[in-house]
Amino acid sequence: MTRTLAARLSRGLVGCYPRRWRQRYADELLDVLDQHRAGARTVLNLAASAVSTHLDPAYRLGGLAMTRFRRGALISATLVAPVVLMLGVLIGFGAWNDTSWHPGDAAGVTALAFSPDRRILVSAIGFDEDGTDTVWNVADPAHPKQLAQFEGGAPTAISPDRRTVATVSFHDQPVLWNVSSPQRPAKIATLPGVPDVVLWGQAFSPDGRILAAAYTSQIDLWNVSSPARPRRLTTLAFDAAAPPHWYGFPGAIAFSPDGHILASTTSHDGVSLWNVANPASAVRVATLSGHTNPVAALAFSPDGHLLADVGYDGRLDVFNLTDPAHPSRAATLRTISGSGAYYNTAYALDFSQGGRTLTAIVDTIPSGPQSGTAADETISRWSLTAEGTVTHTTTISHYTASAGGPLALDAAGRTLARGAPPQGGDIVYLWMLP
Amino acid sequence: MRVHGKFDDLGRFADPSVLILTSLADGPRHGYAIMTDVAGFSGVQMEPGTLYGALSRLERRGWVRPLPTQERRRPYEITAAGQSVLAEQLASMQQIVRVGRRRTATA
Repeated sequence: MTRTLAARLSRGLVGCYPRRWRQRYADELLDVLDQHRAGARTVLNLAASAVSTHLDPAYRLGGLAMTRFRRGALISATLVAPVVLMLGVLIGFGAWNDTSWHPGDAAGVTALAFSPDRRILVSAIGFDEDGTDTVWNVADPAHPKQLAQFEGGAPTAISPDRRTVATVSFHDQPVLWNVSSPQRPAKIATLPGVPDVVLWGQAFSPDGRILAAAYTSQIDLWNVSSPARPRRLTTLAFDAAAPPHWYGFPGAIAFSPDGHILASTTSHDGVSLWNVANPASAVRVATLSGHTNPVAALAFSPDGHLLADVGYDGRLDVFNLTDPAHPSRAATLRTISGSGAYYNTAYALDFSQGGRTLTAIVDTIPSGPQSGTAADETISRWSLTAEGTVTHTTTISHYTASAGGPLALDAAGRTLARGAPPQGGDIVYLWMLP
Repeated sequence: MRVHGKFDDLGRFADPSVLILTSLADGPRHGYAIMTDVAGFSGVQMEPGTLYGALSRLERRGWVRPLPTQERRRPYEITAAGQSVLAEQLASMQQIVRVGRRRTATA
């Protein structure tokens, strides 16, 4: 059996798992298959696993009420199905493309990105080359307008001039898209990635000339002032012993409003600050620590004097960066009570009111069979002094049914974009906050 | 090596489950990272079907839990319950190793 055939059969067999199982695990399993060198053993193993999953009471149709006859029929059908599928593939590759399983079948919104001026929102469904990005004009959040669609992968950043969207390719490479002509979005360039690491985030500098591509091992700074001819300026290496605990988590990365400081998650418990005023010779100026879990979101105040970061443990720190080389902790806040909220949590964080108000949104999704369908949403808002000291706290908690998707918060702290959860379809909910 | 009763109803996923829990014992890993890690420390070339068959069962028992996903890569972490089950299993296996070593040495 050739490798290509084995890979195709393996992907097809994922579609033979019970529907409920697929909704939860298919995307991950397909991703593992993409990285795995599939052989005949892989195909047989998947067929056997699909059958045993069908026999698993938790995924068995009809549960305990099933008659002996129906159970027998199901077992026969699940045993025969992979064989029929294999034969089908062997007989005609032409029909294959129509019957293969697409991630879009169980789509929810996988990524959201606001433009720096928050007039444009890009949402994505699906994960790989099948994934579709939609560009929205949300200048009037009550009347969003769809501008364009393209198949580009997860969007992570929109340039300040709103002409370029940076997405993540299936192979963890940064891809630049020209969306200035809404009717004809076009791929501008695919930047070389870093082998064997995840590209988890990207950020444009405020002048739009630099793209920071953040991997689990390093950050690459690219000169994208001419997007069709990107030029690598430098690589900011993380600590040699990158803690495995952080591997694969989306971190947070942002430029300061003046573009002189780049802040990014660099380890499972820390955020590093680089002086990128001269990007080609960027130097790390400070490391912010104190978290026991990776930082999920961070935000600079409009004057760049304050930096807020929130970890997956729900702890939020405000740092005074008046002297970036000597950051001082101005406040430590809790977004959600208790510990262990590390799991299935989405965060959004932003300053508003000229940096005097800090808003944090946290969606925690309970574990168990209802996972991914509902969340406890906590909206916290703090009034701050110019030095970052908290003078007033407001917390609103409520229940939301459309949870489990990504979150994004606009700079005014007024509009919250929430993507539909897995299987929720291509829907972005825009919420006006109180 | 189905030693401890708690693994009994995992059937053919019992052994992979022990390997997966061991892999996650020092920190969260996503699917493919578990496969390469297990191959590294045990030499067992686990197939994706087995991996996800075992992972879904471990998740349902509350012995591992999924963490926020990045693209399609979802890391899993071992829970406190998973750690204690693994510890019991390893203790049982160690007992077998001890007895087995002693008996083969005198044989």
